[in-house]
Parts: sequence; structure tokens; C-alpha cells
Amino acid sequence: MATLTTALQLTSSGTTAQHSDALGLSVTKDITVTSPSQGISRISSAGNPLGAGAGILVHDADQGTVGQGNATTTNTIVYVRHTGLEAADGTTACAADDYIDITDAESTATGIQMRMYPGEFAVFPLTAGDGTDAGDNDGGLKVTKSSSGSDVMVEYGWWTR
Amino acid sequence: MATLTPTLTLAGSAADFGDALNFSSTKALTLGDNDAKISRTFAVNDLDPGGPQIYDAGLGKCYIYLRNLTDTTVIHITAAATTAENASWIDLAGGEFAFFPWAGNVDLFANSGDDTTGVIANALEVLIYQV
Repeated sequence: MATLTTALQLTSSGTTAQHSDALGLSVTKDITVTSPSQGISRISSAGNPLGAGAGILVHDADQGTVGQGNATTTNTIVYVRHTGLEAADGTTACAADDYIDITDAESTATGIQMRMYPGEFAVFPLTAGDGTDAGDNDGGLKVTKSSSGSDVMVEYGWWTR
Repeated sequence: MATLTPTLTLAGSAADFGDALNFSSTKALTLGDNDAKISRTFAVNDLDPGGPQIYDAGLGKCYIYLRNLTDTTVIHITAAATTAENASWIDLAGGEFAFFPWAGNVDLFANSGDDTTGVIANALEVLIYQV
């Protein structure tokens, strides 16, 4: 067991940022985590870090085994960020409209539907899936580049809760 | 115009992680003058399926912040019309939070599943920033 301290601060500026007052919100939560885990890492959006398929960061029940981050049996604290860098060399800034989509591992249309543009990030506790491809929650997590854009570098990490 | 700046910090000790974890990520997000900025708290009920709709896809892409204000109740966040507990993709334990850019093509709902706790007032804090 280990303690992962997560903290988020939200601030705003500009007269229309939040009602008539500026926002200054800060929250912290210590979360007990265990193995397996994936430390802060970077891969191409076309990468296959688990051998479970291109872009799959956390696999579903039928895509791997426990020990690789099996979202069917455990909840997972997930961090994902679009670095804004082309995967071709890892240093060149990508186009501003080169977004990535974050879905479950099966790209279910009625499940997770995030869209990230360069520099944007997400943090959330990913629920364990129900273990079936045709179920209510197929599970896992997958990144897919935009259909007309380039592959980009994705920063991510996850910790089993 | 306005700017929303989220800053995330992840930290852990060397004793727990081998190397100490001290990681931070931030991004200044531009919001339009006429974009919706919504701040709400929701009661959650022990429904499975069911629960209040906390986001409507009609808003389009939004940055969404969620926080479970309870100490021990797990709050399940589901997408689209399937609001059963086993269809959730976020499980917020007591005190946990989430922040993410939602693509804007699927609604979001919240419930506490079949935990028999009844209605819990002021259980879920939700901030939504339309872009």
C-alpha cells in the first residue's frame, strides 16, 4: 500500500470567469493505492504500452491479464495529458486542432467521451468495467488521435486504488 | 474573455514509490464571455439505475469538475441514458474529485447505486465551464 496525494487548484481571471467573483478553489485528497501502477509516462497516441492494442492505456478484461492494470477488477486513479507535441519527433508542436479522444478500451460511443486539445489534461478515478464487450461498461481506457491529425505524445499515469 | 487555470499536483513519498513523486501539470483555458459557467451541488440517491442528470450534452464541450462531498458514500458517474451502477465509468469515493474535458456528445448522471443510504443532500459538487 502507498499514499498518493492528489491536489487540484482552480483559479480564474477576467470579469466573466465565475459569476461576479474570481474563482479560487483548492482541494486535496490522500488516496491509498497499490500495485499494479503506471508511473508518469509518455507514449505516442499510436503506442501499444500493454500489448493490448494501439492507444490502450488501461486494458479491458479480454485484452490482458491482472498485473498489467486490469480495469475490470480494480478501480484506477488516472491522469492523462495531451502534451501538444508531434509523435514524429517528440519536440515539434502539433497543430492546435490535433485533438485526442479518450474512451473506454472498446471506444464505446455511450461511455467515456473526453476530447483533449494540446495542453489539456484530466484526472479521475476510473471505474472497474463489467468485463464484457457488450456490457454496460466495457472498461479500460484508450486514446485515439483525431481522424485528420497527426499522432501526438500523450503523458499519462495510473494507480490501482 | 476569461481564463480558467487548473493545476494538478500528484505527490508520494520515496518510501511508497521508490522515487519520490512530485508532479504538477497546469493549463490556462480560455473561456468565452457568453459561455456557460455553472456551479451546483446535487443530492444523490441510492438508485440503480437512476439519479440526477448533472450535465446535458446540449452544452457541447465543457471542462467539468466533480467532487464527492461525503465522507464514505461512493458516487457513481454514468454516461448517456444507461444510469445503472455497473455502467458507471467514474466511482468517486468520499472526498475524491475529478477534472476532465468532456467532448459534449453524451449526458452525465450521478447516483450512489444500491447502497441503501437513501437520499444524501449536498453530496456532489459540480462545476461546468462551457468552451
